[in-house]
Amino acid sequence: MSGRLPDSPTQIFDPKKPVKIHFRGRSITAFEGDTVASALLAAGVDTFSRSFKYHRRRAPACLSGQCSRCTMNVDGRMHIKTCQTPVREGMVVEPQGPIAFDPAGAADAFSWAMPTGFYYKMFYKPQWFWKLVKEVIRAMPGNMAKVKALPAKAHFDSINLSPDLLVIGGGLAGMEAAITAADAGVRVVIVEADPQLGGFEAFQAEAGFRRTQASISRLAAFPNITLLTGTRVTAIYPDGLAVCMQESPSQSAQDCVERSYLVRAGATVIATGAGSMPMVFAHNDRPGIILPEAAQRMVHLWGIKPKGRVLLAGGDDHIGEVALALYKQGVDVVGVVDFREAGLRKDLQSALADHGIPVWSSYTLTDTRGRRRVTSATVTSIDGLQSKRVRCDTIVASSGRYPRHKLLGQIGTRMLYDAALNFYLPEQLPANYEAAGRLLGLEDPNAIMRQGAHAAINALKHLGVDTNTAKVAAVEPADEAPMPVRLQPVIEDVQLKSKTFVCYCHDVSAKNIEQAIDEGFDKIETCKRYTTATQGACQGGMCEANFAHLLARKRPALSARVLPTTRPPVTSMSLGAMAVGYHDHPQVSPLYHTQLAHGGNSLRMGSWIRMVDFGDHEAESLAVHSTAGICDVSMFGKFRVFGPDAEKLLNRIMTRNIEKLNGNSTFYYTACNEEGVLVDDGMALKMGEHDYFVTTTAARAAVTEEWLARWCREENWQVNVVNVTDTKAGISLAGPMAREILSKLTEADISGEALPFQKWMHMEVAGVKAIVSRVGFVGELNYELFCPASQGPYLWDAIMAAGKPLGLVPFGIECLNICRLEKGHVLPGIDTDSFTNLFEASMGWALDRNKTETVGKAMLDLTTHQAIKERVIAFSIEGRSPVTEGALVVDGTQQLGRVTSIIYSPLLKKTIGFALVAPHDNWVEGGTVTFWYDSGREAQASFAKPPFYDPKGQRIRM
Amino acid sequence: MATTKKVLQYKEPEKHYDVVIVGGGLHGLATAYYLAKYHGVKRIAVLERRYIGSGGSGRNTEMVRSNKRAHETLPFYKDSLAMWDDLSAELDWNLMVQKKGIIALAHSDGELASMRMQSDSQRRAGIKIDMLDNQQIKKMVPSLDVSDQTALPVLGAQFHPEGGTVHHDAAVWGFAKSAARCGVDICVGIEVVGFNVEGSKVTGVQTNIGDINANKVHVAVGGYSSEIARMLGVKFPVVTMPMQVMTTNIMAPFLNYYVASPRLHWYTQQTLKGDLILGGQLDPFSSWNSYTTWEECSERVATILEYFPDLAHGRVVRSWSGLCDCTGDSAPVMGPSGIDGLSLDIAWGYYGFKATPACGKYSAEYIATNKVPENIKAFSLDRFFNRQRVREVIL
Repeated sequence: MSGRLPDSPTQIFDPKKPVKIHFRGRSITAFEGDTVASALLAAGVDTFSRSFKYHRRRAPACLSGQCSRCTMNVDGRMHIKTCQTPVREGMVVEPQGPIAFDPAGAADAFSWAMPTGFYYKMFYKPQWFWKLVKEVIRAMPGNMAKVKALPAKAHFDSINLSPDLLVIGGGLAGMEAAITAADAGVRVVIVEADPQLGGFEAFQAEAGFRRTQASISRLAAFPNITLLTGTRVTAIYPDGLAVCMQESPSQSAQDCVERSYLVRAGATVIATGAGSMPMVFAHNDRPGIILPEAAQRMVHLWGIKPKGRVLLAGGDDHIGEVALALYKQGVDVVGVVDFREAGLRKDLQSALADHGIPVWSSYTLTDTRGRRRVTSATVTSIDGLQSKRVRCDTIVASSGRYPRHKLLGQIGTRMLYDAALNFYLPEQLPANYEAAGRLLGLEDPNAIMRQGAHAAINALKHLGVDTNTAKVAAVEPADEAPMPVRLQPVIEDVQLKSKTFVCYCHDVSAKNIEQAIDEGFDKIETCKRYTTATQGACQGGMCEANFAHLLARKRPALSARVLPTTRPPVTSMSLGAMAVGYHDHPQVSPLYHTQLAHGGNSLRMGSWIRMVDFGDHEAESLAVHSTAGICDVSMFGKFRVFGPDAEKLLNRIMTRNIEKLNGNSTFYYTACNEEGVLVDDGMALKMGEHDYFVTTTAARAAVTEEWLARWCREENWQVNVVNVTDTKAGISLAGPMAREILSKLTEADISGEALPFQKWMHMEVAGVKAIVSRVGFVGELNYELFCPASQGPYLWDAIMAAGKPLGLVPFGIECLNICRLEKGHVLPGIDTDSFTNLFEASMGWALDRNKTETVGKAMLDLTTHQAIKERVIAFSIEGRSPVTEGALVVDGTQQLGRVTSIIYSPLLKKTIGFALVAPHDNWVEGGTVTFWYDSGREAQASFAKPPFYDPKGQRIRM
Repeated sequence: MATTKKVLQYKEPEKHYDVVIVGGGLHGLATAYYLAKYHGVKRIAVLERRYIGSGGSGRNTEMVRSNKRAHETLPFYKDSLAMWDDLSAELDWNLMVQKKGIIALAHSDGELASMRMQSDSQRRAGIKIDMLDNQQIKKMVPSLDVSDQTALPVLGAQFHPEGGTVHHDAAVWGFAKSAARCGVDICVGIEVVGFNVEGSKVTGVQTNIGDINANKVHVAVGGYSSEIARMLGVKFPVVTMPMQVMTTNIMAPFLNYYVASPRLHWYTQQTLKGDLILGGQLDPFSSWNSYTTWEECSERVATILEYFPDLAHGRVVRSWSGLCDCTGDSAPVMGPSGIDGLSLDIAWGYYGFKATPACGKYSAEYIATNKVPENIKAFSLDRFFNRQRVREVIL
């Protein structure tokens, strides 16, 4: 096998199973279990990306999904953290932008010209100069993903889970919490970001590995634990929803590329652990400078030796342990730098000395050199007096641990800085959340396990599970104290330079931050915004602790070290994965397919797909007037309102008085909101004693149920509302031949005497039971039929078959529009807007002034004493007109209103319509209406009094 | 280091001021600046309880435009949009004004009609505006799907060439810097908890550090105006609702315009840095929390992806929300409050950022002269009591 360490029990790759991936045109052999980053590191790849501002070479720092330096394009997917992405045969990995030779790398030499906020202070005079500069700025950033046309729609999916307990983090604490809870019988979901369980312990050489394996095998025994590895909890939202994202859940690129698990748990244990803080020194970003966990993962998980001579630096004993472990794996360790005066624990010191590894206590790293990767480091005593250069090819450096606290922030728990520990600890968590493990600063594995179990017991108590059972009660609460983390001493002017990076994502240096503070940006929020630190791809995951420390150094008054606000997501989620689960469902009528078969042209309108026409809406309208037409009205809202108090409710909603509706009668009603604004209209049919069938406009169908409920909420009325919108098909049959057509299909007496205008009856039409009423919307003899939705298509076909010999044609809403405008029907929401009240809609006649409880009546009463602000007027133009809806109605410079409906009536040979306008002297018989449209063209129309057709209404009463 | 000239300067408040401005957001800072610079008012304090620009000023999506609907308000918005052009030079601070152009998509005939109406209103007010057909849209935004395969196919668009973006934080700091240099005291960490009113005249504010007297008090508190109303014992016709926004990883420049779908409540733009800003819909509930929710974020992303299918692999890195204090007619409240000496600049909903320069200018003019400038007359508080609302909303 190629260049890997000898097999070890801790490794997670399988050297017997090679996998080929493609990187920059060459083929690289990896092994099953590798991540893209581990494969590339093993293949000796030094540079993974170029940095944002200075285009400096960057390579993975953490190998644990925290930093953004390893991000590349993988199989066409942008900004993929290669350290978290398992390899797959044939995978194509490409850097985002040039990495070997990057001309923009010249920016690195000009960092002096780019102090913090330099772009705020220049380029703006003259204005044309800025227009040029901004295009240059846009093209500058490093590691920019390219948006390319996708060959095929990528597949994402989503799964909902609702366990009793969600455990976030599959380390020792998390596993122990899951086991404890599962043992008590509850259903547990445990989520781990890495492909393997174990967390921190998984890469702590063999001792850690054994501990991990013990927990893993105990965990595996529980069928009530669902394990999600390679899955990150990206957010916990205020309603308790935890969103977990799993990259490439299947082995084939064509399958799902990212899956979300939407977890709603009864309780949650957060055991996300802690990560290492990068050390602050000059040129601390070179490839080869990595965090301890990266070195440990390389060696223990993937058998990769960190390149060449390795220097370690830190301020805790852990760095000494890592040095020893690396040495044992055959790594060339050239020294350990410890910035503490006391130095490493004695046993570590002597062990290192035994192997001839020098330890420099009270020393720190101050600078590095190297071009493609680090070649040497400057090590300086913390008093700044002595320094030396150490040749090295890899630096493993960290200034201590930092809790991965971001999910805590999202559930509203603040992290407070503990000066004694130099660690952030959470305030009280919400009731159904528990925290555990290294997240709380614990170090001892036994303490971590005890504390994980304790967290589970608290969660079980919250779930109402009896925790006094013997097994569970045996666990003692952990009383271990967090381990203190030594604050990194900072040597002014030696360490804090323009290339001492704090925020790697945006190339923000310690000097940048100091300058911002000097300029007055000394609050963490303003400083963050001004320097752009913590705002990059890692969202502060790597830098916020150092950022807060630096701020606190300069402004001790702010020493509370508030961290920047944490917001979802913790790590990025793809738009594709986020969009799963949202579906746009347009509604179609039960007659949709039937109408398509008859040549209907459909169009999405709001939530409905409706038929615009069947080829020629003008011909359709002429047919309606001369023979007959049939139209789908299934999209009307349809409600049955019944019960002893049905009248009370309907009278509250309708402006007309429902009690005036006699048996077998129907009437047209209008409805207003509290402000008297016209919001709805429709037909009401009296079906029986306290029993009504009510239609609404299509737009109001979805809200009417709620609207009715709202207006009887505080009443003790006995009234039932049933929404039958989707259960009934509606067919409008109109025209002089309508009765003849209908009579062919029914035995019922439908003569003008038996079923006159504004009456209805139950009847069988073509064997289908239907409610048939006489309405007047289109201005001709007009039947509206409502039947069970499932029988709608049959009924439509039967009517068409019976009517075709008599000239029956199907018609769409354009024709409906012509007919209703000929009759002068105002449509709420089309001809009126959200301010137009009943009077202004010219429908004051529909208000029963004797009723007191009508919604909107009080406001309408008030406004009767006021001049109206606007009104709906009708107009007509001889012949066809180019004016369209939206044209302005003007009087010179004065803007009076707009055209709301306009259409050409082939019957009248006129263009007719409505406008919503302010009061004006011209709105009288013979007055002129002036339009201003299409960037200044003018046209005129005559004010008109509708209806334009059959003003006496004889045809609807035929 | 080149310079360490202070950009932000804060002061401890004194006991008495000519004008106290409550709220250290953009509107408050701009008003202070125009008062000091153009009206010679000497003693001005801006009181901010958190940090300057911490509210809507720092949470908006940077859009500036004047393509509003109600014709009586257009001169105001036109003025405001034009003012941004010269502000960088005036404030000596690059506000990164980008008049990149705003494309508002229409998905129905009704919307097209409404856009035609708006466009003609705007043209009559001297605002440049064009209607685009799908071919033109595709040419300007190649990554946008204008085919009939989308849920609500694009039928056309309105193009507002002078609309665009301004860097929101830059604007906050630019006004703060210039205001301070004109002698304005910017006081942070000062929370107004009440008002002192004698008879019908305001005499000062109560704060967490004691009373501050003032001849005039101006309220510019964004989403918190209803809290101010409670302190005054009155009711403002506002409802505060959050709006959620997201930002993505950086991408090479591919989107040169601000693209919006008013019907589907989304808009998106690519910033100078290369990330996309995604957002557009108010939460359906009143709240003063700045949370984000999965439902809103995923719906917003889904509706945007429907039209930008190639962004499926783009990645959201952060979401946040800002508070919008909305009125029923989608227009703000500016000018007199009904209490002598107390003026308002509130209820700016989700459209306050673009109005900053004009708000500053006209609020300052009103405070200094006691006369309501013509261009903000439509925004009076009275309009809610005599049915004179601004016809800004469509449905």
